[in-house]
Amino acid sequence: MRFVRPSALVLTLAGALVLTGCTPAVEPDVSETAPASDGTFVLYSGRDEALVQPLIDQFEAASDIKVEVRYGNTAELAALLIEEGDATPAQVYLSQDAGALGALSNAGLFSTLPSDIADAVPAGLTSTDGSWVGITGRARVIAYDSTALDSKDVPTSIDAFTEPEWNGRLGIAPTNASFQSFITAYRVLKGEAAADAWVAGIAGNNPQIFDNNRAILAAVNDGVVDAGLINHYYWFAQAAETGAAGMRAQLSYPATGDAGSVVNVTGAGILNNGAMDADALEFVRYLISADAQNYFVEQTFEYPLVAGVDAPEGLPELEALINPDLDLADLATLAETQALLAQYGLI
Amino acid sequence: MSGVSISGLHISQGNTEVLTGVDLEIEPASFVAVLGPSGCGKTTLLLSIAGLLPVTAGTISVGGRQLSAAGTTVPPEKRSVGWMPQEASLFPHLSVADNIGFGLPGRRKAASRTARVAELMRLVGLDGYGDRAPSQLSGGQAQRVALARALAPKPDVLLLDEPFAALDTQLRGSLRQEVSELLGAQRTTCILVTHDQEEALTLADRVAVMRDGRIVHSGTPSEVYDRPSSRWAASFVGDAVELEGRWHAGRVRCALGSVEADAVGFDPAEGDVVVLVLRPEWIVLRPEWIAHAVESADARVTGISYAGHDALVSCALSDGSVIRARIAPFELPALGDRLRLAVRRPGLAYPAGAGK
Amino acid sequence: MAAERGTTGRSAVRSLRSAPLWLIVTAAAVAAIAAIPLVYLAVRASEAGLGTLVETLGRARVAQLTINSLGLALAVTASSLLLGTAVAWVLTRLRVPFPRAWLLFSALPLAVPSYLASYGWLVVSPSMNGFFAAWLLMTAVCTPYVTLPVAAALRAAPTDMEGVARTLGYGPTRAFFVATWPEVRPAAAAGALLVCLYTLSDFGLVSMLRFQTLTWGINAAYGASFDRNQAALLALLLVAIALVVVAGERRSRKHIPTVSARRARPRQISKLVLLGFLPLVAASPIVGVAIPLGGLAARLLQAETIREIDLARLFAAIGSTLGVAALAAIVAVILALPIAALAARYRGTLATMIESLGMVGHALPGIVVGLSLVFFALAVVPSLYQSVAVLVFGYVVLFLPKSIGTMRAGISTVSPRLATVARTLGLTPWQAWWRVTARLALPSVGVGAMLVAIATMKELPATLLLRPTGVTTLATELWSRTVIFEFGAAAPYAAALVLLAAVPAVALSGVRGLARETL
Repeated sequence: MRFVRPSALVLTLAGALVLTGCTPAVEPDVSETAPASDGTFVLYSGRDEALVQPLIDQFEAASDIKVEVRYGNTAELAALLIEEGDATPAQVYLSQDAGALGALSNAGLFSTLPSDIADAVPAGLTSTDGSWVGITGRARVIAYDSTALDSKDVPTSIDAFTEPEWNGRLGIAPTNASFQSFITAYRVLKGEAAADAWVAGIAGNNPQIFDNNRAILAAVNDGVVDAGLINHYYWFAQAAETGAAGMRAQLSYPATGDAGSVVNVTGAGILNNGAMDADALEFVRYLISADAQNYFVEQTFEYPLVAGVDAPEGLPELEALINPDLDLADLATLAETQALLAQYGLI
Repeated sequence: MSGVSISGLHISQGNTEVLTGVDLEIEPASFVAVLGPSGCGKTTLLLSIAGLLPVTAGTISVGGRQLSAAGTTVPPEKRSVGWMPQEASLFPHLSVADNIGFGLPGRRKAASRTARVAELMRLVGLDGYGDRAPSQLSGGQAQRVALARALAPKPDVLLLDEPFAALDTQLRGSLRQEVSELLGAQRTTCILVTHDQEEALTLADRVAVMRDGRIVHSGTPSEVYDRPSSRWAASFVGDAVELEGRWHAGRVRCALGSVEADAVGFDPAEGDVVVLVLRPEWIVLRPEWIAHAVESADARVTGISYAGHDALVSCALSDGSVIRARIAPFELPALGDRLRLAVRRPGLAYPAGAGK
Repeated sequence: MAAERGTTGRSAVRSLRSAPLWLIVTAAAVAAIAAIPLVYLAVRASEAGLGTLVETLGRARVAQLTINSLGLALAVTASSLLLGTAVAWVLTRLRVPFPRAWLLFSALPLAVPSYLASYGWLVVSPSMNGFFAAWLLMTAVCTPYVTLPVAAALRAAPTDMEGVARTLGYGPTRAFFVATWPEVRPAAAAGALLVCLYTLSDFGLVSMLRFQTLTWGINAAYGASFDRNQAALLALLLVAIALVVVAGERRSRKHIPTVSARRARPRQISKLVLLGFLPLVAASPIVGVAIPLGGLAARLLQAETIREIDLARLFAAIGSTLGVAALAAIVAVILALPIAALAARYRGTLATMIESLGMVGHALPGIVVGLSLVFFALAVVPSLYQSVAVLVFGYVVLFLPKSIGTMRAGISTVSPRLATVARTLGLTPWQAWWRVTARLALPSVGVGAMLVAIATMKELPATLLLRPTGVTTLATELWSRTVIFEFGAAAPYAAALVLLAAVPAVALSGVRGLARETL
């Protein structure tokens, strides 16, 4: 048998591994001048894979552009983008709520969108400076267990949930961006002191903590909790699948003007290193196209934000739900909301 | 001081019967050795006397009190039977003194207890070792501690399970001597199980030879050695020389000539084929040097095994059979020497053929 | 538990001074690499400043999470200790038919990752949540950590001593505690501390059952907040607790010297009594394995589930799971080699230190390694961030102890005398090492690699944090579906995980290997 120096063998193997292992999975593209296309870009999606991957598949088929998606929690990805700074491999950030988009915008991570994109969505539901664009609207709702509660017994104000009678009966998802944005809205609408009191009241009322809205809805449907704070479309998606008649969970809309009655948006922004990426731009433009907006209406039961596309059937008018005192561009103070939630131990 | 009476003892483990009818009477204050090859059931016998194994049938009584019978076993802690296991089995987390005092009543520091422990340490020659950990002891010392521990509560009966097996030859000899003197002075009834004939013969007042779950011979050491009850016992209890021959009027005619013999346990007819069993030290070389040689035959020296204190000389007889003679190591013959052999005392005759 | 040193005798282990310099340097370098997550976590946490540290640790929520973590860990440890010792006693001291099969059966929960067990239960009972559920499942999953070492210790413990105690006037229970328990206690303590460590580190099970412990808190703080200091500080807190537990475990390993003696003879008991004991033995495997796998199988075989299986996704997940597992196994084995060789052959403070550093992954919860490496990659090697390299590195740090343990045992069973004999037959030291020591130790290298691969396939929390964009493993697919209550969609991934990781763990390493792997 030939004699091989084991150290040499080890070094060679290790070297090979380092070489193969070290190649970054994603090469950031570097474009020099005008937006250029290389047929691929990286998307950070704070929206659920189940909700957007079909749309991305549609886009890929239509455009021949390959989308590398990293799915995660909206806030997690926003924090990641802040920590990554300009080293991020991502070109586009798709957010589940306006707050995270505002925070990233304030951090200077977004490049300005072309006006044809920025202006496509009415003010109040998009950024004021063109750094991000709203894509779909969703209402905050109360899902309740219809076998445990009568519809008229469901509170019309979310302030009721801090009462002792709701001890241990409410499901929330404080790590979820929609919930965090709603808290930000509460702060904006009713002031810091009131928001502080509400969060303290909820935290002290033994809420059942879930990871996300879907889990809350499933829990309400299974009778694990009596009520939960979620976004409207989860219910419609499930009702479409299993039939509305079979739903044990039902929806209740807080009274107009209540701090719990908020319409939030999903939205997207192009990160600085995507400014010159034609593929990224094409994708964001696609999101506000009639095709994509119709997809959201039909598949995810969200409100379209672009003129000319009709809202899903069976939903209340968007205008009736919008809180007139709230501009979504004001929801950027996500960090303060998180600090508030952390202070009372909800995250 | 209590005698032990075992009768009709059967013990099964799983589907195998380990003891198949053991009967044994042990006098108070005597020292009995149960001698048998490994697997004969002697340790099982010991464990059952200690109450650590239930019996399937038969009884065990100590001092007239029945301790074990089928379905009833007085628990070990209520039998007053001491046990010194094969390995010293000292509690590794306790000091020597605490090991010895383990079975004594009273608190650890009680005066009566410390006094007894000190007495026992002196007795086994380990004065001043009280604070040592078992791991700091030599094999012999550990055995002494185990003995002291077993003796401490003054048991009626002391069981010794091959206590010297793990020791080297020299230590075994000296410790054996010491223990024998020590136990003699204690006047405790002792039962020793061992597979070492020498140990059994030197220590015990009586030896019970055990085979396949029953006692096959029991008697004083010399009875067991000089007149074993079977060919098997003869060869197990000591070195045996076997020659086939024919029975003629109290003698066996074989390659050694006509040798006077006792027929053990049977009554051979004239001309029957029997096996003559001799101990090597019963055979004498050069009988002309000895006053009363019994009978003699020609032989040729084929091997000499010199052991210092004696020597074993192998000799081929005229018919080719080889026998061994144990002699004092003086004026040894040389290989190939021709000489005459004789037998010092009557031999033993056993039935020939099947089985030993 | 680290594998025991081989019976090489005093001459086999030499002073470190006689070790070749290159070996010391290489081993030290590997140890330093393995320490990166722990060190960097401390660095990152210290950036937050003392004020933030005190403020964060003072929060009621942090106290609550800590209490939950410790409470669960202590409760599970206590119940596993009781149940495991009882099961071990039944299996070693009573005459049970097919004792080896029963032991394998009682060890099975070790092959099933905790989150898979909780998934299986959620399929059966979706509303299950909270402390009691977590305690029940965790106990079922962890009990073998106690059962196996205690059974081994009980079998090795000389029954003579119990008998001696009986003849000296002690009743059966007192005799057991006075004579046998001291022999068993180190094994029981080591097992109990492993249970404690495992429970503290667990992320998947407690998250699925929505019982909020420190691991959950770390993940939530990381995922739901821009302020990463809280995640870092919580991670530091968890590591501190884990290190205390590990230190305790180390101490418990100091063994009372055992005596050799006759081994235990199982006691014959009536069938009726035996039937009474069997539920005790079966409790952990039934709760930890049978019911979850039953739930999984039932769900998997539903027509709806089968119709919806996305084969392309499933195979992609299987492919990446196997890929990262293979990479992690190869890298871990190569890196473990110098440390294992050093630890097997040389003794000294430095050698002990190097080995301990290499084993640090043993004490680090997966979520902590994941979090620390996110910080580390972003700050120090941004080009590697979100690459397979960092993910694999995370696995290597976590599972290096497995390969070091097996390989050290493998090398130390090869007597150095054999290499000396080879030298006298004309070989150079290198040739002797390669042709004798390396050849004989080779099986242990293979086993070490396999153990790392299996552990990697089952890993969840670090994978969630470190996986590159687009890479999903069976564990992450299972997790992401289970947390949104999509049990049917999760079923194929759970089944694949059982086939790829759990079954080989049992089939290839058997009972003893299984015990060694996880201990």
